[in-house]
Parts: sequence; C-alpha cells; structure tokens
Amino acid sequence: MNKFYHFRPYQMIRSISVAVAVIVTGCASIPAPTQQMAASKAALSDAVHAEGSEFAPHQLKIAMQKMNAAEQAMADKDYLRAWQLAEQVQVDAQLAALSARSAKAQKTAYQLQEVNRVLQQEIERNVQ
Amino acid sequence: MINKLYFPITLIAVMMVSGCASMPQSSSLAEAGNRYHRARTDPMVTRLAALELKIAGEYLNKAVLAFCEHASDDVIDHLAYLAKQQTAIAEQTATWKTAELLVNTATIQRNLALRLSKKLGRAPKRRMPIRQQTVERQAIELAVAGINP
Repeated sequence: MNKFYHFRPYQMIRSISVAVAVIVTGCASIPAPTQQMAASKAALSDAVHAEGSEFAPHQLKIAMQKMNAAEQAMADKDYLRAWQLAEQVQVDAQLAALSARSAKAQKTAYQLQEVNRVLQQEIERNVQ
Repeated sequence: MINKLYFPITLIAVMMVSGCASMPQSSSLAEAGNRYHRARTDPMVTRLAALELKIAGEYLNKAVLAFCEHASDDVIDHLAYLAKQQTAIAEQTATWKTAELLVNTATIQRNLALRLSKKLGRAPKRRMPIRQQTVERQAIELAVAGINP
C-alpha cells in the first residue's frame, strides 16, 4: 500500500490561501511563485514517469501547455497568472499520473484474470 | 448521514461568516459542487480516497468563500477548477486502488493455480503448451510491473 502516490496537499492549500488572501485584500504585489512552479514541474515529471503520454495523453498535453504558459507568465512577471496556471498544472498532472496508473493496473488485472482462466482450465483437464 | 451533512453545514457556516446572502450562482462553482457531492456519496471514494476528497472539500470551501467575498470571476473559476480536478483525483485514486487490489488478488490466485497445476502435472507428467508458457511469463512480468509501477 505504501506505493500509492503521496501528494503534498497542505502545501497546496497553504499556497492557495495565500493567493486568495492576496487577491481578496487587493494587494498589488505578488511574489514570484517559484516553489509552486517547482512543485508543478515535479508533478508533471511524475506524470511523464507514470507513462501519462501513453495512458492519459490528453490530460498530460493540457498540463504541459499550461506549464509552458506559466513559464511565459513568469517571464512576463505576471505572477498571479503564473501562480494560477502552476496550481492548475499540479492538479492536472496528478490526475494524469493517477489515470495512467489506473489504466495500467486495470490492464494488468484483466490480463492476469485471463491467465487464471487458462490455468483453471488446465487444472480441470488434469483432474479429469 | 452525518458525513453527508458535513459539507452543507460547512458551506452554510462559511457563507454566514462571510456574509454571503445567497447560494452561489457561478456555473463553474455549481459544477464543482455537483461533482464533489456526487463523489461524497460514492462509498468507494469515501473509503479509498478520504484524504483526497477532504482536500477537494477544502478547495470548494475556498471557492465559495471567494464567491461570497466578491472576488473576480477569474479567481472563483480558478478555485472551482482546482476543486473539480481534486474531486476527480479522489475518484481516480479510488479507481486505482481498486484495480491494484484486483491485481494483488489475481496474482495470489495465479500463484496458487500454478502450484496446484505443478502438483497435478507430476502424475501423469504433462507439459504446458508453449503458448501458455508465454502467456504466463507475460503475466509474471505484468504482475511485477503492477507491484512496482
């Protein structure tokens, strides 16, 4: 069970709270979201590692496009936009990784069940 | 029942504290809320992805709070999107864990069947067809891949 993917939810929640506080209070200057950018890149790389391009290509493509847009926003010093995009990349990439892992596990389960069916027939033939 | 009531109560509390007069009318927020409530009533999700679902609820609360505090549509839509995706993460986590459990069960069944088939194979000796040997090798590889994704 320990192999299940571990998120860093509270970090995300905290960063969102900061973003909301900043927006709600109308504070003008937003710090560059470097930590969030790093967390999003890590999530994206995990999705690639989980073979997201094969098992969840659409979701992964969207996450990659948003990551590019976030990097562009960072370059333009539009930190609010960069922050929002990077947060979205993190959830999109996590979802892509999970979808890929689900699809792979379902495929493995199906193939194993097929093998078991063949083995059962073999055993039944041997018993007869 | 207590679990089902949990979210509306928090939502109402958030709305009261923030002075939100009416239920949110934002379409992205409504969509996120509907998805979240659907996931909350799915016993597989509440059992296998409780933490992921809790985070989705927190995102939704933040989105509602932003709505009540008259944040811009952009901010509300962003938080609603995070709530929606996090709900999907909870649902997908439950699907994944279910599939992993199936893999584990099928692996145990296969190992038992292989042992039994070996035992039975001794008298009279019966060789496994080549095609089946290949299938089994693939199954072992897949099982290993499933255990170490």
